[in-house]
Amino acid sequence: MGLRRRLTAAAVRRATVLVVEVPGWGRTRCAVEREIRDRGWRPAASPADADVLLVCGRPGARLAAAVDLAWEQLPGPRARAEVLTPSGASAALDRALDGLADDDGQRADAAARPGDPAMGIGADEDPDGDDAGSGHETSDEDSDDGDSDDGDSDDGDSDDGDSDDGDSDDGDSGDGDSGDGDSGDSGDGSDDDGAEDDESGEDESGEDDADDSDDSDEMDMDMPMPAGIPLAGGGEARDGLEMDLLHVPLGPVLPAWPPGLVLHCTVQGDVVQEARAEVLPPGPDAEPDGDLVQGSPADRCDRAARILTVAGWADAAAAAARLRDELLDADGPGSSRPALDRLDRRVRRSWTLRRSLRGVPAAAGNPPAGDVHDQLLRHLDQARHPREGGVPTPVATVPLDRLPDLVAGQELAAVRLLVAAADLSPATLVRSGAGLS
Amino acid sequence: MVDDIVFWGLAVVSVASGVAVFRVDSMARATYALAVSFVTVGLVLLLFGLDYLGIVVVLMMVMEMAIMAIYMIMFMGMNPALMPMSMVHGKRTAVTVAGLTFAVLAAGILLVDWPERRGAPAADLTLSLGHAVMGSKMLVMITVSAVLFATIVSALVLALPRGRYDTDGADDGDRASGEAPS
Amino acid sequence: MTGALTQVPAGWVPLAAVLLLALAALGATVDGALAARAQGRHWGSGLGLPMAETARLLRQRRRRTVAADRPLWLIGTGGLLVVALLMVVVVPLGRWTLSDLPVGVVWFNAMDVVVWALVWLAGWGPNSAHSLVGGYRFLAQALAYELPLMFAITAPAVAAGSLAVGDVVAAQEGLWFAVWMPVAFLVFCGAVLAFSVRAPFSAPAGADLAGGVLADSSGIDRWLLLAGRWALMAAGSAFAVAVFLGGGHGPLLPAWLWSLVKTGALLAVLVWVRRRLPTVRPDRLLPFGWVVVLPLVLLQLLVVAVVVVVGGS
Repeated sequence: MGLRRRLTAAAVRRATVLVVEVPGWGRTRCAVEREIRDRGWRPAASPADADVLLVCGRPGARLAAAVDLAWEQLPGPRARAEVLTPSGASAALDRALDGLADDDGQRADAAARPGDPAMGIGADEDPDGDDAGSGHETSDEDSDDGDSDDGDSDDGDSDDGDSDDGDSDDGDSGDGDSGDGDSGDSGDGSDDDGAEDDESGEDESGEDDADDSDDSDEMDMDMPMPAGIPLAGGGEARDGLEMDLLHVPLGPVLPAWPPGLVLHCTVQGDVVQEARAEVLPPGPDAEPDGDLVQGSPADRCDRAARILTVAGWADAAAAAARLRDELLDADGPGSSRPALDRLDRRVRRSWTLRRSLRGVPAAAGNPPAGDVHDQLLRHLDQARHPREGGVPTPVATVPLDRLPDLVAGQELAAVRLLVAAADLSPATLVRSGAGLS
Repeated sequence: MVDDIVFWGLAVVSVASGVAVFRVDSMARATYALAVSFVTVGLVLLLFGLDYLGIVVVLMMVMEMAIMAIYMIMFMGMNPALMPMSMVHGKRTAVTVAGLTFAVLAAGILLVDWPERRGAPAADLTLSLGHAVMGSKMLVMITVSAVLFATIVSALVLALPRGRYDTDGADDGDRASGEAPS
Repeated sequence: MTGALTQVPAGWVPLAAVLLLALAALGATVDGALAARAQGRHWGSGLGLPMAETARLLRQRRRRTVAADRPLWLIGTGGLLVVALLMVVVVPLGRWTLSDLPVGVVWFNAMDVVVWALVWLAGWGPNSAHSLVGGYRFLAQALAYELPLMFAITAPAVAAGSLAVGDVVAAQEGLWFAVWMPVAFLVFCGAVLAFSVRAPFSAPAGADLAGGVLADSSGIDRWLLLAGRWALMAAGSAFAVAVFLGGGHGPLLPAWLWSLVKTGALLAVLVWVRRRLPTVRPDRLLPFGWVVVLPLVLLQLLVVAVVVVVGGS
């Protein structure tokens, strides 16, 4: 007993938090990140990695469904909290911590969860219209989000780890089905044609999805699919070989990713062939707390931190995030100036970083020009030399519908960098997400 | 005694995983079953005191199977992890050929008049192996291998000048190289 | 010819395993301290990281995914630690070694090739797009680092005139190989970072893939993967110490202690390097490995061979 309690105490000392930002709650997310850092906790890379799911803001229905799916993928012990204002960050993390440390509560949670990984939401379960749309979407998302993709959509965890109960059945259970979204590696879904349709329809997403699910249903009937996952379709790749087409949605629950953005990608191997972008809006009656002031030094540092995170440079990203928080406190780059200069020098000197970021087209400016490395340096520059009078230099944004063109033909790592660096028009981000505009 | 046990253990694992290659239903499992089979054969060579050969067999086979798994999966064209599929094709021909080969080899083992050992093994088996295999032809071998290797690489480069990622190959991080295809 | 070392009975293997894990924990601790400092906290607050993370993962449940290839996933997950242990079997600790294999250098090489298979299997198992891409990235990366690695460890073997690790250590009495074959040493250190999937070679487990091969592991599975990576890094450092940094040679201290101290120090340096550098994008790695590193290390080998021939005649 004593041992168990001690293990619990040690285990929650360094919780990992999956932070989900709803469009419009940028400042809250920054406060949360800062609190996580100060406590010595760690942001999670994927739901499987997370102990705590922290939602900054009030999501709309589709985003909420995506968050719920991510929640299902947390292995447990797990805790979930919502923050609506920067000042609420600390209390929310405390609440989550209490939940995590509560052994009995966690055991009850584990017992209440299904033992086998059920697939997300079955395509055939939701009949029509909007609902179907959102259900389906989410199941995709979940996949993407982080994590896991899909195939698993589900989480299922079995409980072995520590907890008792359970059954662990493995894996695949498939009954459920759906498949549509997912299937991990191999792709999901629809055959080629289906894919094509899916992608080309630029109408509203509801319809789109419904189509999609039909397709996959058909597929299901044609062949017995293990775990209900249909075959991948093939397509000609750039190098002339035929490769499987997979539909992997990226976002909206993905670290270092623009809030609410979903990029429905069709990938061959690790190259994105085509994509469709949309932003899942916050709840209709929610009042966003607000983002960082576009183009302000703090905002520039935040953008730099996001790029550096995706570039796999955790320490430089941490430095940028700390600067952002100092700037938010201080209202001016005065005291943080030497640290900013240091970061700038470090980034400029890094040969490895230049090698990685050069040549990834920047989603910034109109028309988009330059590459992500330029963009990163520009952010740092602007953070160091803000305009007189405190009026922020405007960020040269690109509309959301330019994104698919930019990512097409890029390798996944480049896509992540490109999107992390993308200066998307704020209007697009907050507008209710009716597909690409 | 211990050697005998180890030998039989390895032999059984080797044959069993060889059989598994045809019994499992996924390309990944089949490939790695084959890898296990090869690795145990390499370990049997270690029992003979042929350290270098045994370990090189392990090294090469694991490397080869890791790469081969990619090709196996790639050429199947459907999601092979999920889709149970038979690993056997052209059953009758295959069984006949395999049976004949086995019969010939087994007959060879039983019928050949194996010579008695004369003298003792060399002190450094690796060294003498090198001399035996290469000997006076060392220079030729080295030259040929480099040429062969260069041929393979240049053939690939000629076949696929832009590469999978559509870079021009000469990218040293300069910005022109990785630009998106328009 | 390999008389310099004492081969200890197999009963000592558990001790070797404990030492390896201790070194792995050391690496993780240094990493935690550096991370804490980068985040603006006192470095001391990061020291408890390996323990806290272990407790967290022991308490966490395992994640199951739909249609996972469970056996292959488990092999990939659990195999890394085993391979790291097999690597150190041929690495001498001062005068003692578990196995004075006459071809120890090749053995190490074979074990590091097994890592190819294991990481790929760990990516394949969960049936998830992110981890699968991670697994494939590792194979592509392996093609970039393996040849330079092979030639890098050929250099000390050529200089010592033997493939036995004991002989290579003995040949460094007086002058470490790292001193007169620096390129081979640096390339080998880079390869250690690459096969333990650390920055700048961490794309297979990259942040851009939500953790890549780690994306869908949790609980003990994740612990095994993380510990396996640290253990590989420790084993690689130990081997580098034996073949490049003079093994147990050194003044005052006993040989076994020198081995440990050097290994710990090299490991700490590698951890520092990995925190200093961002991840190189995977498609940029292969041209660099083959166009730049491979010729360099071949030149190094040529220099070593010439020195040996001229010096020997």
